[in-house]
Amino acid sequence: MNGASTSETGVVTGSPVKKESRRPKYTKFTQQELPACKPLLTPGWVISIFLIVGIIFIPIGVVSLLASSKVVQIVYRYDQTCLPATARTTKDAQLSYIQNPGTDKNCPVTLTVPKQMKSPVYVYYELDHFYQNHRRYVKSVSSAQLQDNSSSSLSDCKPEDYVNGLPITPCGLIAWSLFNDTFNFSTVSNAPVHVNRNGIAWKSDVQKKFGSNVFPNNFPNNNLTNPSGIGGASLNSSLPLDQDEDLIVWMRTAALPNFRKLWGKIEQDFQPGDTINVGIVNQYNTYSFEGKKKLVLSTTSWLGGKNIFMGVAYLTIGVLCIVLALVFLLIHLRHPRPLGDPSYLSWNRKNSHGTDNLRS
Amino acid sequence: MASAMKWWKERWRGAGGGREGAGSGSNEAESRVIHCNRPDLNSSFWYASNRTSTTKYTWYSFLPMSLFEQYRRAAYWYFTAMAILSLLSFGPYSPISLWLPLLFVLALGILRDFAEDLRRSRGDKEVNSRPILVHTGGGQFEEKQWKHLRVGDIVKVTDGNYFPSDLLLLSSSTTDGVCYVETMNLDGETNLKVRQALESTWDVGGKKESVLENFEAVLEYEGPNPSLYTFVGTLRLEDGQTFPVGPSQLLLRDSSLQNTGSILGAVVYTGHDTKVMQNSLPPPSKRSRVDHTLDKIIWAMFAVLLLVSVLTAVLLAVRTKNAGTDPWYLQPTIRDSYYNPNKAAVAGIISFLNSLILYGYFIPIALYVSLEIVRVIQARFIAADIHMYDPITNKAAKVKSAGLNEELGQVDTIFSDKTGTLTCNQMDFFRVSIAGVAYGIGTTEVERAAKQLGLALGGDPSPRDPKDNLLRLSSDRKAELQGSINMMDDNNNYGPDNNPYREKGFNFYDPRLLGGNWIHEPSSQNIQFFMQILALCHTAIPDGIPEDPASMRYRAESPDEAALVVAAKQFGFYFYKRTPTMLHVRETVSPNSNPVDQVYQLLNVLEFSSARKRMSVIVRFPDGRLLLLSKGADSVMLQRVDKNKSGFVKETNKHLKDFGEVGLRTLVVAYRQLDEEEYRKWQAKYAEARATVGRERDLHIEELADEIEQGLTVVGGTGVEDKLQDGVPEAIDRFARAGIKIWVLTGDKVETAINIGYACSLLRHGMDNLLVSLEGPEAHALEERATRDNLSRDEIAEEQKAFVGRKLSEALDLVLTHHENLRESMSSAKATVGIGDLSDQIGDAADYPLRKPDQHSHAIEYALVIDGVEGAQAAMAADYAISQFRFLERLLLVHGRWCYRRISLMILYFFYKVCMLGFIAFLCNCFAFFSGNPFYNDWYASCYNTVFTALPVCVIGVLDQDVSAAEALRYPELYRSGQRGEMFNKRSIFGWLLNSLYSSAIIFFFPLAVYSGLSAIRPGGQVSSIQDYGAGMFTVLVLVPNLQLYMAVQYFTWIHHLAICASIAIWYLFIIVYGALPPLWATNAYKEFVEVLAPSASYWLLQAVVIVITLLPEYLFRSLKWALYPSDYQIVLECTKLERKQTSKQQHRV
Repeated sequence: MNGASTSETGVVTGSPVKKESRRPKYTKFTQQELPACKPLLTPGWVISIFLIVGIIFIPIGVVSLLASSKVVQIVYRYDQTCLPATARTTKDAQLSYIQNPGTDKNCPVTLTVPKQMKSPVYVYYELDHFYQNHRRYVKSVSSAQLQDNSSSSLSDCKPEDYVNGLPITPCGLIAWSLFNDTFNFSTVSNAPVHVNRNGIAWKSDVQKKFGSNVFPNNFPNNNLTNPSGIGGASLNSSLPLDQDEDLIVWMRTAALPNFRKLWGKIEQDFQPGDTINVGIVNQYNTYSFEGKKKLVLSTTSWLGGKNIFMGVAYLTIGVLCIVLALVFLLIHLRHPRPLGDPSYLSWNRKNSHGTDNLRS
Repeated sequence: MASAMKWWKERWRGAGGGREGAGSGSNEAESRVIHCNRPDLNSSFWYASNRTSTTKYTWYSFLPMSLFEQYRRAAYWYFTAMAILSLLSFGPYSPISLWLPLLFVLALGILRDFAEDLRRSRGDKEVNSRPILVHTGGGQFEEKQWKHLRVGDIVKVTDGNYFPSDLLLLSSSTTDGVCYVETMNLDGETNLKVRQALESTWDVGGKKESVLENFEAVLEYEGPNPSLYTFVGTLRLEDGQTFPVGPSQLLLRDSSLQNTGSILGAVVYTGHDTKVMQNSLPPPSKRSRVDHTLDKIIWAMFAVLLLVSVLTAVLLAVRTKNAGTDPWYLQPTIRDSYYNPNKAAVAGIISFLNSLILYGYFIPIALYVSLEIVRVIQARFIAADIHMYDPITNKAAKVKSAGLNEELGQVDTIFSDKTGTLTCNQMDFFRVSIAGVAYGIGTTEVERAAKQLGLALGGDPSPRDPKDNLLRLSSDRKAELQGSINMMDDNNNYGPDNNPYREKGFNFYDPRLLGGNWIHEPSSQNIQFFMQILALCHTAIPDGIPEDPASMRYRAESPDEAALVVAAKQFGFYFYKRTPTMLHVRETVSPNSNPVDQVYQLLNVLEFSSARKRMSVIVRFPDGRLLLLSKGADSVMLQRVDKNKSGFVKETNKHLKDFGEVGLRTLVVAYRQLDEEEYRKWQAKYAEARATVGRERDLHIEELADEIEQGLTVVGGTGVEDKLQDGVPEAIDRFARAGIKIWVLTGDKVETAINIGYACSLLRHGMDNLLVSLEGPEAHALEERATRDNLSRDEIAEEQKAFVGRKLSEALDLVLTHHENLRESMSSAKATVGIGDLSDQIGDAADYPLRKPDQHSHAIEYALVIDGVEGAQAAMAADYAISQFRFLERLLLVHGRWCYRRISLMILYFFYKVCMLGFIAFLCNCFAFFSGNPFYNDWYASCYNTVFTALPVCVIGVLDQDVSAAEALRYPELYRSGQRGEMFNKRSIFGWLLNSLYSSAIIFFFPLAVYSGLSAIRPGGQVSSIQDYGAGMFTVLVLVPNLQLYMAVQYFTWIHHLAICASIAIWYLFIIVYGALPPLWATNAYKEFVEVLAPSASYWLLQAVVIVITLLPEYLFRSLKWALYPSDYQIVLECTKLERKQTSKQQHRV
């Protein structure tokens, strides 16, 4: 702090040798004269930009809407219909039904195909009010354990880390709450419809995140007397994790409390009017939190599933831009302002009104 | 905290510099006793060494101190607290993703400190290791480094070199112990000052070595203090004699020896004890108004953060309680403190802490560092501006407080000194009045300006037109001169504008006097005497070869004085040598005669002071006459005129008034023939007074001077022109158009001041002039009261100031009642620039006039120094230093304006983008049970501010220009938008935040509609999961703020495009590279882009639609505004474009 003076003046004046010119060097950069693009929002530009955006967006919107409209999907909510009439009345009744391992959980359902569905037809289950994004839930997993059983501590997996002092594989709430309703498809003629349960998970998950030599162990759901209560599905102890695609799909948690998960692919076409018999085993408890359960069969387009959002968004903005272009055209015609008219400068405007500037 | 800081700094410096601290801290009040030439006896005192250190830190204190310095920004404490919280298990992000950005910004700050300190330390090293000759006994000198000097050492300093420490002058190579010093680095004055050793020590270091070898003296003197102009001490020689020593024996560090072979001095203060180091000012630490507003926004953001966090906590607690054990998949029966439906409050509190981190983006960590870096680069640009480089002084603009850059764009009042600031402080002898005749036919700048404006100067047809002048000459002389002028005109075109006699300090042209012609004037005797007075009555020191008059330069106290000596030289009275008792003048009395060397005996010099406003010398002429020669301001001189023998008082007075009106600085030249007896008596008293010690001394001397400077006879008067600097009228004109108010401080006479005001276009037609004067009944009453109450001069000055201030305020009130606009503008006057040599002067000027109209009493916000030849020290204390007044227009109108726009934009944009992430984090939470789980990967978020969106905003902060420099100068009115604070105010902040809110909603919900998890995002039937949504959403979150810049600014160089594109590219690169890391590292980003997002059409379609819809309102708003309510700068841009079009059309036609 003290005496910046000494060092600086000292250096500058101390050596009375030749005087170097301290003239700054000229470059376009240091003089802030770089060539620059200065777009002016003149009416011509504004109108043409709106037009261009509109012209590009409307066709994209149309194409997207078409893609979505071509998708055929069947959604069937079964959480209530699959309950016996006695169990539907109260929440307690629902719970005592679903939590009793002795009750019959089979629920045959018939679906009718409204339009032609081309292979592959994807099978999803949809849950509601299920907070897979809850912090306690999301964190309750051990990636290292899933990958190669290498985790030193399972503390992340609390409260599903150890059972009777033995480490759980796969540990954590996510695995423990695995969805366990099953679906059995057949045609009217009772010919079974094959559902391909492979290839429903992302390849990277299968290959890297879930190990081929990690086997379920001490999994609480496999032991119905386990103290932590009934969870979701049990796991086949001889099936390595990387082959259990249901688990892999389930463990890639959903962003919202209302979500679908891919359950399988039906690789055959359905014709309009076809009926599909589905044998649902309704054993997953969503009744505690009043969550719906749905079965979804859907085809896809190049854009994905049925979702008009993209098409609507594009179309709306496209139309809006065209409208705005017209509005601007109107404004320009109604209130034409000559380019670069100095009389529009604030100080010129003021003077014309007689109010003088400050220095009079 | 501040005091603790100071304490620490002192501690560290003390420890770092060895024993430096011991001397500087404790001895302030104590006096010192040292033994000159006996270093062995002095070592016991532990005085400071002569090593100086200007560094802030030492190598071992650097890290902790610099770190501490960083933490002066309150926000950093917050970030650190958050980083520490994140270490606890409930943190929403991995700790490292919070620590890394924090460490990054800390490291950046520390690195900057390090670079600065390194630079200082290099400077110190150079200074500390300069060589100096130190007496080592036996009359021998040895070369040592400065830092090894000790108090009491005897050192030898040779001509042109700097004094290594404060020295007591013992002897010089001149016989009479005199030496000359230049104190430019201390007070900015370029004239030489005389220092004279005590007579009793003149022999030390003389021919006899033994004298030096055996020299020993005890010096008792005051302890180190910052007063540059005082020094009290006594020197006791070996023989027991004691002598008082004072400032005239003290040679200060940082001043240099001039025109003297060498000197010997005893070291009295060393290192940090020296006056200059004690006096050095702490670096200015002022903050701009934008900065203050920024603080407020940060607090507001903090409030928002708290609010959102509390909201989250409450909602979580309520929902957890309501849900109870229903969501069985959360295992609510196995409880811990984070999740316990029965103790929801606990969960709420933890959620609150968690939310502080989760929404921490509301407080932008990178903003401070970015602002600092940007301001430093802006400062570089200002310093590199070729248009602000002055080739004469070889100086470019300097920026000391880059933190105030944007304030330069909001200045609405300038306080300026006149001399040296508006003018060159380069005085030229221009007119002269001798024996009642006015000479000099050049046209002054003021006259020229008046002619242009069609103003009449004064009421008298004063000698303005040279022909006019000649008409009034006696007819025979006229014929003679007419001939000579015509001859000159015909053959050489000589005239006032082509003056063969012109040199620095002399711009006088009149053929009646020049070239020895004065001898033909009727009053040639008087002219000769007048010129002799000019050649003798001064304190200038000749610097050059006596035989070569053309090369001779005079080192004088002020440039006016030098100009007078130069004038005498031009008229044939060439002063070429000064000794303490003799003045040597080479006189050429007629063009045909040879020069004669005359020696005048100089008896006394009664020096100039601003209070006395005059100076005199008492000289014995070679013919034995004893004369008091005097020159001074007419106000003081005319009071002292001998009533009976007044000389040419009337004529001179009239001429000087004319000179004053045309903007010249005038002096009356007078003399008095002294009576031998009277002088002897006076001299005795005077010698006695000079010998006294203490405060009485100056008073006595002044009284005695006053006594003898009476009964003067006026010979004539001089008019010296101080030219306006180049471009001053134009600059002032632009400031006026820019709405900047200007106050100029001058000591001129009222008429001179007004006319110069017109000349520099400060005053113009149609303005009402209000004169507030210290002459008038009220002012006289004040003076009377002052004499009655026996007030000191300072007190009187204070009273007068207060009086003027009062009058000014009254005057302003008067104006204000008529001009409501003006009142408004006055009360909003906040930013002010003071310009001048010293800040206290600015303080004076700024102090009172504004107080009344502006109740907030805003003092000077910062000082700006026009630093030409003078004022190196003043420049140190300044925030900005430029060499010419006209550079100020570029500094304010161009750089200031740009910087204000840039910094404003930068801050607004920063909050826009951080709020976006903050809002999105909150929205995520709303859909996740308020459990505090962000949908996106930690690393996306922590790189968002520091990597993905950091670069373009800095480019804008450095490069953005709404209009070019040329346009800004062509339309100075554009500057007013800065004064009105149009870029950075509640409206603009609100607008940007609204935009942020809107954009974040779009960015959150649009991707959510696509990645909802309810429909397949790919033909392969896969639905999206949380990480797919996170990455998809984050992609547009990176794209939108980057592309928003295309909406926000109007100026794009390749650097802009590069920065924006690079930022976007870095995001894609990041997500690819990060996603390619092993899954345990990449966690949920593993192969996200490559496998999930990139192959899906919806990902790309989504980006386009979100970008368009987020930027649409801004584009719409700007287009509408441009079409219907265009801003000034937009019109200016259009004008430029139109002109370019037209010129290219014309060229085409040609």
